[in-house]
Amino acid sequence: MEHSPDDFQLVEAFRKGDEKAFEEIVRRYQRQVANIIYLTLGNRQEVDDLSQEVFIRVYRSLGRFQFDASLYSWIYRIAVNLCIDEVRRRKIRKAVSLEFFTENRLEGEKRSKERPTASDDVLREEKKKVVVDALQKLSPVHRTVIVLREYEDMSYEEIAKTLHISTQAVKSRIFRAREELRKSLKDYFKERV
Amino acid sequence: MKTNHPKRLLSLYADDELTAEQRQEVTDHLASCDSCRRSVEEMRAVRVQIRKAADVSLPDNFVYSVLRAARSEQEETVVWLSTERFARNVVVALSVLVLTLIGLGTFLRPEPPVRVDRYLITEPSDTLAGQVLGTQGEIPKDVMVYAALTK
Repeated sequence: MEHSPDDFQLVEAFRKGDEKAFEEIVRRYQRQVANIIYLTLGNRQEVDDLSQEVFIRVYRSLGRFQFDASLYSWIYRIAVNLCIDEVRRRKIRKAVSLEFFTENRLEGEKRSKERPTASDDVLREEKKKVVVDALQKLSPVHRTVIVLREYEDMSYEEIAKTLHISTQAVKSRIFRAREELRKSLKDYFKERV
Repeated sequence: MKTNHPKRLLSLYADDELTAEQRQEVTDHLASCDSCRRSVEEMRAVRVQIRKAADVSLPDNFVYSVLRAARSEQEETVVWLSTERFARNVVVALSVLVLTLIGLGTFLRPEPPVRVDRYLITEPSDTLAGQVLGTQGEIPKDVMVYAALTK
């Protein structure tokens, strides 16, 4: 049985000029990168372009990559930094105001009542949107940490290394992010009870 | 009776980041606290929802569009570097040319003529004196030096 090459072998092959190795790296991590960007910026339209930008940066710097961290966390760091820059640049904190968020929910509820036969897909999509919108209401530092924890399932130590912060700061940010998310999603949870 | 809810520990509990002792403490508390139990459930529900929301996938040709963009960026860099190198060489060549011309100009510039007042000419028949009179009282410096040395 043929084993797929590990990250180290792929990086070494790329350094020797094998572009197929780079293609494999992109295929391996493109989905995670796209979702990190989506959860952090909350905008599907930006995902393709920013994911491409992440991998262009990877292509540009892979020759200098030293394996002082795993390839996986190095690529994530590039994605996270790009998202943070993007948030700062566009001041995306506007995201969704509480009023807008509530209005959206009420509209959703109204639509569900008007159309009792609305497909499960629509409801599922609305639920997703509620969570993604709630993430956008967090400050960028809290959002990044909670995405790495909840989506990437990174340990506190891995998050600390990826973001160059202390483990204590990770604990504190995760706690704050969860508190804020619970407040934002209060109505969502009431509905579930 | 006021109950102390271990809010911060609940977050660590949900992530399994507590020591065995702390974990036991929280487990005991959860056994008798509906509110904290609900908090932990909500944290887990948020995690599930975040993972469900993360279902974005990229176009099938994504890999190739990345490669195309990366290569074109690389080519642009090469063109830019060679243009930059060419421009730098042109600037250096022009600087050398300008400095050479300035140097040559300084070296080849004729000496300013020497003015000789008419009343100093005592012998109008003298060639030098005649030259002075014929040139409105100015003669080249080298002629003047020659005259001074030979008289």
